Amino acid sequence: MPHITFIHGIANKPAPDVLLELWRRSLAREDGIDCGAENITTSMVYWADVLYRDPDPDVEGYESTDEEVQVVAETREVAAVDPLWRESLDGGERAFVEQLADELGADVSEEEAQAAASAEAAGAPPAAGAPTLSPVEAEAAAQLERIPLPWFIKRPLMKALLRDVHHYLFNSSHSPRPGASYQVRDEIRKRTLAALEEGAKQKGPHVVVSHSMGTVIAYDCLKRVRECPAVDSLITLGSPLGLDEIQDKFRPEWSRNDGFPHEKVRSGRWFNVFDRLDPVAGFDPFLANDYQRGGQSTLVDIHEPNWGNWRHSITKYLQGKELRRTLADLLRP
Amino acid sequence: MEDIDLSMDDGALVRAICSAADDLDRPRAKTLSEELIRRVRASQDQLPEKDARKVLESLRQQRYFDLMDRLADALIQSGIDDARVRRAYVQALVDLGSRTAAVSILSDLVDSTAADPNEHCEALGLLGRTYKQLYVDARAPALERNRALLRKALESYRDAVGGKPEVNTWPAINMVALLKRARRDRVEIGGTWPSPDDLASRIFDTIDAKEPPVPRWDMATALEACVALGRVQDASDWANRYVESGAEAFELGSTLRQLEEVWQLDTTSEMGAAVLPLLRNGLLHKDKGFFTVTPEEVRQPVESLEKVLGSDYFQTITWYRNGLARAQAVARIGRDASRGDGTGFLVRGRDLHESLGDELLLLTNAHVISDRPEHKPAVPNFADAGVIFEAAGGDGAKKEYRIREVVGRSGPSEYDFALVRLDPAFSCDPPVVPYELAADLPANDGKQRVYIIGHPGGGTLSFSMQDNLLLDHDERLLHYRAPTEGGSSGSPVFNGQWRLIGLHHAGYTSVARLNRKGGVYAANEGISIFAIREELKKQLGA
Repeated sequence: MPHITFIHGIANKPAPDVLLELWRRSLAREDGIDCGAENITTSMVYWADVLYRDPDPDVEGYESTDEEVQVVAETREVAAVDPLWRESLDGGERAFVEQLADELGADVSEEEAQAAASAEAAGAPPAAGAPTLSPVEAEAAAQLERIPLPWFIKRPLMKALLRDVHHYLFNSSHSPRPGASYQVRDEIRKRTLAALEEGAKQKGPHVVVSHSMGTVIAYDCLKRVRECPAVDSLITLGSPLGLDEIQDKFRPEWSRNDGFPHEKVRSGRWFNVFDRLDPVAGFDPFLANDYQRGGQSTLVDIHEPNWGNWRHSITKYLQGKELRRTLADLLRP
Repeated sequence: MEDIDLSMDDGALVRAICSAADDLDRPRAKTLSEELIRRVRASQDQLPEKDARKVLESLRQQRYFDLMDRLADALIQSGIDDARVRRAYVQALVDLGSRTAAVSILSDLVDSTAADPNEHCEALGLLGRTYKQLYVDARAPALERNRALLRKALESYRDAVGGKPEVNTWPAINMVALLKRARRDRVEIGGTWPSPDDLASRIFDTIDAKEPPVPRWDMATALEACVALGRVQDASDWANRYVESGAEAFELGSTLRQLEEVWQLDTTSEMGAAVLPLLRNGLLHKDKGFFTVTPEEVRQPVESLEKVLGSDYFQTITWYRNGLARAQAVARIGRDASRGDGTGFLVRGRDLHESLGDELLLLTNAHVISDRPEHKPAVPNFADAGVIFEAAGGDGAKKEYRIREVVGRSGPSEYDFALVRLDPAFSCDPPVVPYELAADLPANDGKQRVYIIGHPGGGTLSFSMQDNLLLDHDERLLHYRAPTEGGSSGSPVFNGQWRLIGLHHAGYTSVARLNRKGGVYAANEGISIFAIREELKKQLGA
């Protein structure tokens, strides 16, 4: 029977079985793909506990039809990310974080972002309106201003993304609760490989569906971990893999000409779904030219807008018609 | 039935009955209830009132009214004087059809609860409901004795309201429903009554002004008030809120019956189209949900719902629409026009065997139609059978087909199917879409549901859409638990995506479990469509 391995993204999450059930329900909702009815097995690579203290107990908020309630539920603990983690960095690590922070607009103020966006709207470069920012930062600031979320959510979200990406790519040591300490990337890689091995035991097609930071994890394992089992196809949703800083960290395995993980994605099919107003994916949503295979773009980028203000939501991505059509096709024997 | 340990204490016995009822395990609930009845009758001590109320409520929620009646009777005989227990007893009598007995007991209950305003109101409300049900079921408003029932229902509800419609909203909205019904049925009720529109407005304004969270029963009442006032969009919004609030299947079902039976709504009217599909869709998504639709409603073009509901709600009932579309391919099979001997449905030939191509054939049970006498089909000679697709659109419902030949068959104790060719070949404009087969049977995890569309109790004019829990399956058989008694032989069985997985063929109160699990249980049984397909390969060649 076919199998889907899900990999979740940034921010804290409910308990693993609850999270898996949320994803399955979103996928099935209203004429979608009902994994139970179609006998498709599923599993979730759960890693929120590596970075957060306890699972999020508020489950109802994730499925609320009130968007304000939903976005608060999905981003609740990002504001609690300790800002001091950056202070202790130096050298190449610090440089990476500063560059990525610029690229994400993680350190810009609301006023600077508004000024940059106004300048851009008037036809000037964004930096002209926000002279305190570098050109890269100003452009990010203008982009961030366009995302229809309140700043008290947007900025912590970018800072949380910055932290999660850094801790993973640099295999940082992190203690989310007393008595627990992890080398972040090692631990998450271990869990991902174990999940992919289980999925490989099913007889049908094995598809990885990853979201947000989960797409970074999926790519890292499939491209850079020799022991990683092969899968049949890959779907990335709301992915930050378009960011140059992240791509650079994948060298030498990654190059623009040959970044496609063809050794471990048997069918050669990778679909990347994004929404332009997704704050995590919106900066650089197109991946096809950045992850080529032998100089050819084989990855397929799909622009499928969600709705409302909170466009990064996995429950929305999973309800997309194009996403569902693509996934159903990949799951066919 | 697997052995039940009856040595447990009373508290554990009560919990076990509640659990069996919740699991829709009627034989188990019955055995345990009989044990409790035996103990209640034999013991000097009474069962604690809270346990008595709890077990009766569990039985009521699953509509096990016969068990509820006997247990409540025993509890009252043992000396329990609790008004709620007595009310539960009366409720069972009402739902079992002993309404005249219920009326006289209720009249006593009304008198004896005069000092307890809440119980008094509940008793009056139940009396009103009993008279209401008697009037609605009689379907003969011209007869004076039935008109008297309507008047008595109104009087009981008025007394329950006690001049405070903003407080006692439930009996008040029933007053509104019956005052409007009296007008439609041209029943002269006499006396002075408030304007139903004024009353409905007052009820609605009271509920609309409440701080969230609004209780579910208030949502149902607000919905009904909007129906009374003809406010289609508001009714639709409240129906959606009510479904989204997590209302249970029996609550949604009860509201749906009120709208269908008392308000006489169906989806051919704008209000019915705005409200009923939302409730029905909600019901089908609930454990143990079921409802019936008429062929006329199935034949309505689905797009007409979008005009009424608006595209948001229309999107949310996509799944319900798919279910309705499936009903169009369901046929009644019978020897004469007035009754059905069984059900069948259209399949595309090549979905079952390549050689059959795109021809639309009818699949049913061999115990309904067969060309082998040893199968003892309900219609002994298949040439005598008439096949009518009551819900097919356009001119489809008017045609009666005969059966030209049986293409493949298997006996009742094997795969119990007959695949037949119709005469003339099936045709319909607009076309009926044959079913899509699932890729596989659902996961066997005890959580999946299957959906059946059939003619309830063998009747001819409605389709029962049922949500059933899939208990188990092996390569040949599917076992599922239905929220209602019976089902129709030959009904299609669908997975949660409305893809065909089986052919319904029997319901058992006690059948051996599958996969060597040992023991027996109550289950409905269907034949896997994949097993039928394999059997056809043997008969028609690989």
